Amino acid sequence: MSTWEPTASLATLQKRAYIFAKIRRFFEAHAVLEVDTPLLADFPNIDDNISPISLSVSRSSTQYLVTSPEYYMKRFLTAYRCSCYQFCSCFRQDEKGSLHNTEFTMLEYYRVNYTHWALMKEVDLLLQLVLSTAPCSWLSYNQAFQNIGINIANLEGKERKQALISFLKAKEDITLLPFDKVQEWEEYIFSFYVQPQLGKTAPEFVFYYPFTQAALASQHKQDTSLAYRFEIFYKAIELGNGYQELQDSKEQTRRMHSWNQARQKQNKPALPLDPKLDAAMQQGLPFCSGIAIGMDRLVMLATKQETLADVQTFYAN
Amino acid sequence: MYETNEFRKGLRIEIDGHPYIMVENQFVKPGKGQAFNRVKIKSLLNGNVIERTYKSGEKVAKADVSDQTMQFLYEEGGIYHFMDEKTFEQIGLQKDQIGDLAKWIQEGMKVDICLYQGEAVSCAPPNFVTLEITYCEPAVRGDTATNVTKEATVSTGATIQVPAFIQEGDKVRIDTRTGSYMDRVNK
Repeated sequence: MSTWEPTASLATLQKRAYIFAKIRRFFEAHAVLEVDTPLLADFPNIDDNISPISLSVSRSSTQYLVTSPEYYMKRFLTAYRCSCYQFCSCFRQDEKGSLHNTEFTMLEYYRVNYTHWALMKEVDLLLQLVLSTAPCSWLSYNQAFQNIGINIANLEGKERKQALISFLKAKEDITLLPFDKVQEWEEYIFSFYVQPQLGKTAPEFVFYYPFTQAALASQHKQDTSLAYRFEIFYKAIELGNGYQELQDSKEQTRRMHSWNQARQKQNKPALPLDPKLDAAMQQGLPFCSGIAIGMDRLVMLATKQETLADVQTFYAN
Repeated sequence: MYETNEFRKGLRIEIDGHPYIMVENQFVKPGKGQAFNRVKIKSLLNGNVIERTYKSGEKVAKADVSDQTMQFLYEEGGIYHFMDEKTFEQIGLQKDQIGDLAKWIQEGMKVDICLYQGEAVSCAPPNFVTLEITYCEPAVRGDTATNVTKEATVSTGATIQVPAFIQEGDKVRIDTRTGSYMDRVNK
């Protein structure tokens, strides 16, 4: 039984508005331009684990709601080489839960000429401002696993899976788990064993994600098993995902085809590649780093609430 | 079959021929990773609660259950007797199958009985019941600082916390899901 009233209290919504204003003042002081780009796109974001919502806008055209404003912002960056940020709704199919909603608010921003380290340091300042916490701490993806007793550094395929399963066998009945590929075991362990340990007292960055999970981050120059991808966690909650952005257009196309293949293996449809994004990438995305932060979760943590429904004006049930 | 995106509290599923009701559904999904549903499910046969993890997109069988509204007649020797008002069919449930309902059940009350493969396995009380207070300490007028609530016994023998102004003989509405007082019902 649903009622018509907002799902967040007025007091929380006032605090939410104040947080948005604070962030805008932060970017103004740091000379980062606020932009807004389409949410209704001709081409979808391509990812093996995120499904976009498609709409038939007219009898002859299908469009997609963005799962992130990344593609448009990269086209903007290529044309104007200007650091920018955006607050916008993003839409993802089949994502509903206490920390998820089909429609949620993203803060996405890009810094031209910043390495991922420089961007993380700036995000640290932003989070200290919004959350009133101590400065962030840092650890690598491999260290995060090491901290719970699994050594996966430089392990691949069977050996990596072995290390992960050995750990898990001692903790739960693995015959009950529906996993098969090493990636699936790894993500499960990260979600239920690694993540609960992250960001307990202050936000924590996890950097150097494996190259197999690079998304659109560029590859580590010395250690090709790693990528310049990082995430930020606070009180065991995933707040953001960032990269030192991939600039190689051919590599980007290759990755997108591989995600489409992975989608098809999961009985999900392959998605069309965006020719305009590709044209911009061929023109040359400037050296930059970017991050996408879940604003609802950030507000939730800042206002000490429990679920997304507490901080979204009308959380859809 | 139910798919993981249909999972919610109250969903009745079957695993290895055993019926369960979902009591908790946790959706877990890292931004760039695959989604899981971690559920707590309670056996409709023995009440045991277990945890299961499903990959997003996985399917589970629907439990072969049906619900029937029946009226409570009486209890005798630990068996609770119910009757279907339309067919006059009668069934009996054991005390452990009644569970929490025993606290609130009264003669004539209509409840939803859950049948698994035709056999009654559990029943759910209505969300709200109105019961009479049969015992509580009298309200001490003016003593509003210390006694905001007090314990009271209702006609079924269950005890609940009520506001200090409630007296014996009052009829109160109770939320059976939490066992808490809602309001006093005017005569």
